[in-house]
Amino acid sequence: MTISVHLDQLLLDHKMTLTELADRVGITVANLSILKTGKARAVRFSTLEAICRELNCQPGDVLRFSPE
Amino acid sequence: MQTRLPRLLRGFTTFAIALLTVVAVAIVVFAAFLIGTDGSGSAELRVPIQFTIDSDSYSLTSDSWGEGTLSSASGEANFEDPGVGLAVAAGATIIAGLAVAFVALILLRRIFSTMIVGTPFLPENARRIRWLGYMAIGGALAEQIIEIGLGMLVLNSVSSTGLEIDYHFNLNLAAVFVGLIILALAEVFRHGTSLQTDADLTV
Repeated sequence: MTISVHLDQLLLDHKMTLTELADRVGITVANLSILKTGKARAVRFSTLEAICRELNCQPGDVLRFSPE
Repeated sequence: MQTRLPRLLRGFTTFAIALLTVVAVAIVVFAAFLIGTDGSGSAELRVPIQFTIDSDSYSLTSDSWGEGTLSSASGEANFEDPGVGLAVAAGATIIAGLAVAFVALILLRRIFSTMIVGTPFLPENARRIRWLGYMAIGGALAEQIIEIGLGMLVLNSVSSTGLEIDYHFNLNLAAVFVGLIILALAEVFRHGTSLQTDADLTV
């Protein structure tokens, strides 16, 4: 996969747990875990917006494109 | 998801499976009884062959099981006892048919079970529906092939003069058509499964 998710680093930087972020964003831990582990097929703008708001970051900080 | 109808249908398939089991056991016991009584029992065996009689008046007489004479103005056909081979072949066909029906009912029951728990769009269900389609088409073709085979066995023991006797060819086109519809639905279901996976992995 050429799009990678960097939620781990962002959570570490903000000293936040996955459960806490899931609670703030309003999605289940299971779904956030799917995103964190790179298994997600699609991300809703509303989810991305909520993550960026809670982690005070840009979409590019969460998702990165790396050419293979 | 509304579960009343799937529950009802699953209950129906459970009942049908139980009924089929009883019928299969009864057939095996009945066959054993017939063999045990050394052929003195009585049974009806429908023979899939076809007569062409160009006369309105004909008569069919039979002295014993498996034997008989068909008479008309144009000729006569004598049926000899086809022997135990035909009975065994017909019995095996019935058992095979029951086995296919049994498998089909189990597949249906599993599909309804997934509907009850609210997850019908599974790759397994697409596969099960596809197999039901294959069974409908294959069953119709197999039925025709078996009928021709049984007809050949019977014709070996028939001697006729002036009467035309041949295999009975009557492919169940309705079953083939239903099978094709089921296969089309299986493809739709497979696509639905893919969409369901997409939805499940969208966060």
